[in-house]
Amino acid sequence: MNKHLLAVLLTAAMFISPAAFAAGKTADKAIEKVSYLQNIAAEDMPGDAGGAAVITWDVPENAPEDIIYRVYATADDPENKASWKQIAEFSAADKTITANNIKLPFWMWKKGESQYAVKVNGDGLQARESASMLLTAANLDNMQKLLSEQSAALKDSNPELYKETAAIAAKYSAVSAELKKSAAEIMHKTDHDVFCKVEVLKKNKVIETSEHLQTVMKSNWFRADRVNTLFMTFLIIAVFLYSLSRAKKGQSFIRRINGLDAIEEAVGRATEMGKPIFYTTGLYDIEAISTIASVFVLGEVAKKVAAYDCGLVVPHKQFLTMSVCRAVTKEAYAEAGRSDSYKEDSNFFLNPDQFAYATGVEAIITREKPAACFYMGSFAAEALLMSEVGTTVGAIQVAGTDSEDQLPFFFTSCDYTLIGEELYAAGAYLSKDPLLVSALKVQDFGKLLFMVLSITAVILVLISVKTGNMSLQKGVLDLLTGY
Amino acid sequence: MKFIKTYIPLFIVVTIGVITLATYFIPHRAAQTYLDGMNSWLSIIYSYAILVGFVSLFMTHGKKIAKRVEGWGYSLFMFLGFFLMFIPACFSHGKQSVDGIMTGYGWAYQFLFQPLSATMFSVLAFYIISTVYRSFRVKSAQAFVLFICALILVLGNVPVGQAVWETLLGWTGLHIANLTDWLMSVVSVSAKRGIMIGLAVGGVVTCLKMIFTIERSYLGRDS
Repeated sequence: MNKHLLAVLLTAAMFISPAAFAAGKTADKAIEKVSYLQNIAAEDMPGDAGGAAVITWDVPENAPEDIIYRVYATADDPENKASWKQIAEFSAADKTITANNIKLPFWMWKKGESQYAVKVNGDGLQARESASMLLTAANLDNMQKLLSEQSAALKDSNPELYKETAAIAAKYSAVSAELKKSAAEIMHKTDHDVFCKVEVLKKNKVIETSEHLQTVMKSNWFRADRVNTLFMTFLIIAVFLYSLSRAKKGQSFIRRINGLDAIEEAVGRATEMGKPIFYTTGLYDIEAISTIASVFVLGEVAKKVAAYDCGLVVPHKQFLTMSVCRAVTKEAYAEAGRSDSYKEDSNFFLNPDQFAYATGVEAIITREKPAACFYMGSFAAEALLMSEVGTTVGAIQVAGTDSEDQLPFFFTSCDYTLIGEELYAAGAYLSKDPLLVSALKVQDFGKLLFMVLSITAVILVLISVKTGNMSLQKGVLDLLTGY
Repeated sequence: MKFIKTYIPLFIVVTIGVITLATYFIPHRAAQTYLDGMNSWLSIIYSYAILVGFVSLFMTHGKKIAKRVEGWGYSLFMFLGFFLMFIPACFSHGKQSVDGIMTGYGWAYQFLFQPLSATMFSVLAFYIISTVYRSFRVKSAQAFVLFICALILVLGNVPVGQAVWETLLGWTGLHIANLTDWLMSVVSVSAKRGIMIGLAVGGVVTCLKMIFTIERSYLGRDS
């Protein structure tokens, strides 16, 4: 029995021992050959306009500090060694090149500090590939030109050779045209292939190289990182539509804005004094929201001016705004039934330069001595230059601006000042149109929403700091960030 | 007529408004191409508006000179200033220097226009003094708070102010620099951010009013 057992054990040992020995050897090798590029992958940069990819791999545990990573990329043939461009180089000790550096919200980017992440900007690679093609095309063009010149001399002496040379020159020309076309296509292509590789160096010696990682840099159709903004947009639109439906039932209330109530008083005073009303739409052109709001207010002021039949002086710094204001003023006069009183030159162009414009306004206010001055729009250093002159001539002054830096100057030199969003609300307030007034409710809702969100976010962030729950903090901040 | 004056402009406003809003959420290059196209259109419209602006400028001042209205000499001066810059600019093709040599336009810009602009900017300092004087007249509780804040900021920003503070209020243990920093980085910034949030919401609502054609005063009364 024992003999049999011994024979079985010996036989088994014959089979097992080499395997065990080999396994031990492999394990030793595995210890020796630790991979510093675990789980390496290249992927398209999510939600971008195209032209970017990202390479990620695990941060190795206990990696020696003298390990250096070099990241390469090419949009050309990966087998062509010259086409590879170095994108990044960093030490394994540098823990800042992690996936946390990719600024994307948690619902798009799950990777964190346990992985390295290097962004590859493909636009440069495309331009490089395109430039290389154009260079080859230029060389071919030169050769074609040279051949054409030389073959011209052979036309009579050696017609056969002439034909051959001309054919080669034509081929060069065709290839060059093809290359130029491809170069242009590369620059206009929306989706591009990109190849990436990572080298690991120790003491300036490459100890590990990744395989060629291929990915497509796609030009995406949706920015998923802006989902939070999209949600807020839809929410505000929903509240906007609800407010409009309520407006039709006449259920809107609006608080009084003293600065706007003073317009009637200012125009009445100007009529009594026989002096004009001065109005400026600020520095910026019609694409600025403050200027658009100012144009709405001008329309309402012009209606009152037309009704009282006093003068209106509106100097402009911007050409386009002047054209729009002319149309608005003309319509306001028509609406007031005083088209005959409308003067085309009530809106006129002054100067496109900031201080030249301010000088012109100062001169107008000093000479014309208006009974009331309105400063509505965005302003910079010229705000005080204009409003102080208005104060010295004793005009009633109403300012409205979204330039928060200029608000203190207007507070001190004007009788009434509309702060920021009050300027945007002014047109609706003055027109008393129920639909426009109802839209102001949305502004109030928006502010309430921001207050609630801010307070909630502060509480949650404080809790996350206290409990050390960093994912909660990131989640809250991601939700409130505009990407 | 109403179709041309109202519906077509409204259609343009709604379509462009919705597409432009959508491009914020569409990163595709097609969206970028669309935005570039819109910017080109804006430049074209600007070019025409410049013409309208200059016609307005010349008509306004020309009329004043023709009718000899009060202060018509200033209008004459406007034409003088305009041609003083325009004619040299034509000769030098709008360049301020050629091969390192200053052109007539460059000279007019550097030695006429810039000093005049700088003069206007420096006048601001005198206006600020008169404004500060008005701000420092304490008439209410709010004005008193404003006065105290302004005083701290003034003291914190001038060397002699720090010496005055240390002599008079050094015993409090508070440093004027810390107080100034706190006012600027906490009080001032929080107020500014409040205004900015209001502005952002107001801006969104103004845009929605135009996209949903609620605000159409720019179209005139026929709308």
